[in-house]
Amino acid sequence: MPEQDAGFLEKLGAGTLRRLAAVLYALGYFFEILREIPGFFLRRRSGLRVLTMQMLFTGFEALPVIAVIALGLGGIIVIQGLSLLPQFGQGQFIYTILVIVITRELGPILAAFIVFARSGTAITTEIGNMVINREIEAFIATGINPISYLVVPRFLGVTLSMMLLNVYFNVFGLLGSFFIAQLFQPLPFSQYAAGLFEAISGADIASTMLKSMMFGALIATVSTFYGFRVERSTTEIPQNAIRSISVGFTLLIVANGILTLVYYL
Amino acid sequence: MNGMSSTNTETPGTQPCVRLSNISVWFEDFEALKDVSVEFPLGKTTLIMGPSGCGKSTLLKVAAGLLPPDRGEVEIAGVDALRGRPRALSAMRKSTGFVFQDAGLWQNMSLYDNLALPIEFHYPERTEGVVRRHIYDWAKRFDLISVLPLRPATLSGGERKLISFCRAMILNPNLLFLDEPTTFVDRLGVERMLNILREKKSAGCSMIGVTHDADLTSQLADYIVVMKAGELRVFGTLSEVARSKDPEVREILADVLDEAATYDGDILDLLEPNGDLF
Repeated sequence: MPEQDAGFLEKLGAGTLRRLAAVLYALGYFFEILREIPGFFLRRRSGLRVLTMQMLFTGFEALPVIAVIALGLGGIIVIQGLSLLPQFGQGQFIYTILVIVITRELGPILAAFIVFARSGTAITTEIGNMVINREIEAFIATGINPISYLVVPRFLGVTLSMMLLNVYFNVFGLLGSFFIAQLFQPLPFSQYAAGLFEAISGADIASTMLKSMMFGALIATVSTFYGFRVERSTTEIPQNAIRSISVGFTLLIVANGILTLVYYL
Repeated sequence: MNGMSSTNTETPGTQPCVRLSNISVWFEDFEALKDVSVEFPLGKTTLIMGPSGCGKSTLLKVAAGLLPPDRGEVEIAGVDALRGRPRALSAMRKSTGFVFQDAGLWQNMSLYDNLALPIEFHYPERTEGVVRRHIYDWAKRFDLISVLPLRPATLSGGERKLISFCRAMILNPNLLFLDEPTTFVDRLGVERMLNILREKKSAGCSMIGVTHDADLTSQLADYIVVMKAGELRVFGTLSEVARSKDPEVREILADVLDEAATYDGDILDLLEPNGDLF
């Protein structure tokens, strides 16, 4: 084998091993979070404050932006659907399309993108700053496991918030579409609701809730993981926030693809 | 006394509270600790001295298990600090306290919460009233009750240091790590701190500290470690080290304790202010 090829293969092999080690490390981190979850319920008092603050920031404060996006999306689907579908005599499929797009697909992923952009980067920055200010060392020195105190409440808070925001996104997305539909084709709310209930199935609800739960867990894991990767300098904080969001968005899309595939299996 | 090496394998014959073996720490290309081995005696106070940047705080953090070394073994209270089981490590940490050089307070919490969190985390069964009384008892000792609702950023460096000291003491540790505990603290605060540390010492608490404070050294130290350029130069009793004839050790101590101390008698004067040390 030529020397040049051997060098290339060596680099490729080393790079692959390095990436594999990083993936295994991240998986280990995720399982460490899962292992610390029962401890949260034993020490509710100290962790509850962090959980409440996280839900307030991730869930409650995101309500206006989620409402606007959901209403807008619902409106767009109805405008497009009601102008195109009747041309093919398929107007009744508007409800099925609304359920597929808002409930099953775009609701969870768009809410996840919003939560990652708002809360994920904030979590990475906050933990990165704590590393620089030696606050993490102070947790270790006082025997407080940073995963247990800092990560677990955020993990639970972001996951619960994601699930609730997904429900909220669905409510606003489907309501928004009703109000826009009034402009094209006025119909009573009972008829609209009946059409939606007919189109939606238990599997759709299970799929959307499972997705939002997985996305919440993913956002919390990735954003805290990159916060802890900050070591010494404040310039590492924005760098890790950017990495966190790049990796996070990619993983969200991959996870969404896998879960959608699973739905059709 | 063991001089001019990075080890103190002849440490005075007591059981160690912390054992460091062949510790090396690198910060990128800079070797901060060079193959250091040291055993800190149980129930005694050992103070680490040396010029700025010689690796004192790094050694203290390695000894406290806060900084994993690039090479070597760390054993704290019989627990392997690098590979110990989480439960054993947590139990060990519960009985240790650390005063940080820059206070290391949690910035997004009030000072009250800074003191309450270790108790609430380790003793979730304690009621809020019990926790509050315990915190107020400690804050009262330094006249800090009025600042408890504030965040660390609003306090002076000295007050932050005192809260950091209270936090280190709040779980009644039997192993204390002190990184320049008296820096920024006023005279009265230092006096109160020394009284508490003397109480802890007489109760058998092991202490390992880094200091440039001659008062603290003369009143608390049983053993002195002198470091230079990431290496352990001398480990011995306060008396042995203070009387050392080694010019390098004398120069380091003179520099560390008082720049004016340039001749033989000065260091003993600094470490023996009341003439009753030895």
